[in-house]
Amino acid sequence: MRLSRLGLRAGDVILAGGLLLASAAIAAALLFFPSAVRATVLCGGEPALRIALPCEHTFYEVESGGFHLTIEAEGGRVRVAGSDCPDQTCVRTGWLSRSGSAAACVPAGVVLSLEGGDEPSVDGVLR
Amino acid sequence: MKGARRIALCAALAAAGMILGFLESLIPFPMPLPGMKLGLANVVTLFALYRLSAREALAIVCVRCTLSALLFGGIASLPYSLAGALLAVAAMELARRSGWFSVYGVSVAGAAAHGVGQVSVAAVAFSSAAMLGYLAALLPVSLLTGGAMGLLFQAFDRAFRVAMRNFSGR
Repeated sequence: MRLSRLGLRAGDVILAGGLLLASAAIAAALLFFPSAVRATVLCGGEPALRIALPCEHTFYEVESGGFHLTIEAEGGRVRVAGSDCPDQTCVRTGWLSRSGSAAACVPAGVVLSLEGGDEPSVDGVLR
Repeated sequence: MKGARRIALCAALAAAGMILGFLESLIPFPMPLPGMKLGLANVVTLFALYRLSAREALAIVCVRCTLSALLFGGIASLPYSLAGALLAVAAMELARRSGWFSVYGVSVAGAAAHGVGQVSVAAVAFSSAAMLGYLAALLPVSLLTGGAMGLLFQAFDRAFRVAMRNFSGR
């Protein structure tokens, strides 16, 4: 079955092959480098909330240590959107999107962290 | 065909693109993942690239995307729609000009570029590279939809050209 009989040219075949290859490569990359799949909110050391990622734009209200926090989750990232704690470090941490990253509200005893796959990613290994 | 007639044709094509886009949203075509579509409007873009000019194809696409977003999709859908469509026009024109691709290749290039554009905007909007993973499913599908649109374009090309001849009064 000659390609030219189908009305196809060399570039078409190469493009088709390239697309399939790229698709396979991306699928492989997804398997080997999972991005954050889960956000966990710890209140006083106990897991109070688990958010599966990526997700639709959602807000969660959390009460802990006498403080009220608002957690915002959108797509593959999360953040502490609001808190009535005095120093606001948690809020100022901003968006978290990398697996292993975290934001903490010390006065409230709240930790918002991201986990990817089964293992937290490491920033570096020192031997 | 020159002047006002050409402009009028472009306007008609923009409207046709909008209608096709709307129609395909009505037909529950089974797609593996949400957000995938046939891309019927690309048939119009193909026609514009092959029978008119890249500039006109670009204008048609811009008008179509903007009006569709205002009328149907909501203004928030505009960045996605435009990114996909503009990248598609660029890819299709480059593919067409290179001479290495048949209509099918050009159409597939457009379909793939359209997907890449939209996914990229999503990745930026959600600060998540994970969005790009969607391409693993999108790219092979664009191979099929691009091929199908290439077929559709050829089927209608003849009818379009007859209509153009009548339209220009010759």
